[in-house]
Amino acid sequence: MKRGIRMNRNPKGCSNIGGTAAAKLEYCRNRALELFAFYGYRPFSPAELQLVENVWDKISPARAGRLIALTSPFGEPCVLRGDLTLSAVTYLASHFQDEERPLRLSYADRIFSAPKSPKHNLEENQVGVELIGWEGAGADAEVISLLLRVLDELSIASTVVLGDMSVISKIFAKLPGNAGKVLTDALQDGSYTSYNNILGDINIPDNDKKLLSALPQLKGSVSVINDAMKMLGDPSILMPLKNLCDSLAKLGFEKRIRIDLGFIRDLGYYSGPIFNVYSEKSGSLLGGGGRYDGLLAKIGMDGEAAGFALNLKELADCCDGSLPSPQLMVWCGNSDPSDCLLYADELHRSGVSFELSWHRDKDESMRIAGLRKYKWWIDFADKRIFSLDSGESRNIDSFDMGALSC
Amino acid sequence: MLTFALPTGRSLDGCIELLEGAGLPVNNLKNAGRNLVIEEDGFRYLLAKPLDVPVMTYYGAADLALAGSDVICEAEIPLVELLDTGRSKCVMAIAGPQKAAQKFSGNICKLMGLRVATKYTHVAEKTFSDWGVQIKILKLNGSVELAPALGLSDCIFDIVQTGSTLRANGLVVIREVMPVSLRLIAGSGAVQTNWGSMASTVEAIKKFVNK
Repeated sequence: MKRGIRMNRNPKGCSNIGGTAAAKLEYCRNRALELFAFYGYRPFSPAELQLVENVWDKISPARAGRLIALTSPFGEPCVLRGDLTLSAVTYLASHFQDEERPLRLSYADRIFSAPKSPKHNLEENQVGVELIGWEGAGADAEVISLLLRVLDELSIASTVVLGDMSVISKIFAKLPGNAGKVLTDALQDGSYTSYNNILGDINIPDNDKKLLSALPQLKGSVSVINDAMKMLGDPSILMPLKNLCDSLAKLGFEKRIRIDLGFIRDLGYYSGPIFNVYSEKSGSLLGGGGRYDGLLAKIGMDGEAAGFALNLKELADCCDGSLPSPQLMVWCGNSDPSDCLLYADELHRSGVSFELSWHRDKDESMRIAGLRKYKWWIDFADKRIFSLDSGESRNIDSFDMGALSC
Repeated sequence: MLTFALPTGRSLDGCIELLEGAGLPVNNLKNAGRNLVIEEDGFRYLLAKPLDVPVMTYYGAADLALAGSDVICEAEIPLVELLDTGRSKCVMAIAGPQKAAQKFSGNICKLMGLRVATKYTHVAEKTFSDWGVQIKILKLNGSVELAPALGLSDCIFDIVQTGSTLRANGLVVIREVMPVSLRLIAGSGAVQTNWGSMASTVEAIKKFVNK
């Protein structure tokens, strides 16, 4: 820290991202949005604030309790955007006619919520897509394959874990009273102890109890679906999940798929296939998503919707790629700025990335270039280019700039 | 290799007994000395402070772990609780001198502003808050039973096993809050992606505790 410079402290839970981390984050963001655009997803940039009335009853109480509330300068009760899916759906509902569906949206933005221990971050950078209002069966496979393809683009080895909320709903629907609700809560809390205790108190036939008791353990490779089908009275409830896995297998993703039939996502609006995706290298959760037809219903729309969000910081941590950094520094200290800027345009047209240096002192400019790990430094006034590794120099005109193009 | 996080301190012997009963290799673990990482026959054991076990598990440093339910509740970390082993049983309780006990027997309003000494600040706060009572918490890291005698608190919020430490300090159990026992836990990521390699170990421990 330099003496005399007052350091700016960020609010607890917020952080600035700079340097290599920012370059990697931007790289992941750009590659993802580029790929989404190829698949017909149009960028969407939602408002930073959401009205409380549009959010509160659409998500689970646990999630709603973590929203960061504030009053806008116009006196409206708001929350800092805690969920991008919700923004996308309300945007669709209010801006598009039924016949304009399906709508494919992509986004890269921040969400805000009170952190859950042991984390401390109030904000998270996400990139993702929403496919809203389709007619047909391929959309779940489209969304999950797009998720895996974007991770392939970023060279991040990953595993996707699939569950299905509709299977759980159908199995629990037969239970008496509010047993289904409390069992769902226990699974969502990850408390298999509570789940088994509750199950022990429910009066149901032994066969049903055996199935329910096995449910949290039905995890592993795709073959788990067949095991579960044998246990179910009505195996057809697993057919949509099985078909989805078959589609993904045909796309070459079979080895990257895991099944977890006791899996519940905590946002409270998922109603079909759901998924989490993990980095194979670090084991960290990269993101997730799923089908949320129920959310459309909550805002009075018929139809189906699915999407996913990936945590950009996690992607950046797992990704080796980065935005290209400038390859050379052009020292313009003794030259007419307009001549230098014309030369800069020429470099740009040749696809060479660069940084201009207006420092008066030539040696200091070269020293800074070395500190920034540039390989080349140009003295524009003398029209010479220097290798900062070997110290050799030559005339700019005899140097092949094409070799440096991005 | 399956990595297991275990709490050091008084629960460790119970953990070793449990793992041995389930057929896991524990010879090196029994003679760990000052080692904090012990490997034997396809298992790695990490020995950590009880309160650190949930964090290590959450971040994937361990596939499985044994931790007291008191510590799990206090950590407030989302984990998968696979099994209640029923071992190392005790209760989380409010304890204090007779004078404090009388306050609890009357209207709940009498408890407002109660000074509570504890190392379980989150659980204590949540417990009283669920009753609609605001309290003043004094965070202590050990010898919590001293606080009422020193005039630092009206009561304590702590785990009670035999009650002998309470009696020795002139305190009585005023209200039991929740049962505590050793739980088998895992990170949700490990459970979702690595279940195949941990399922047989979980099953072996389950079989042993249900014997």
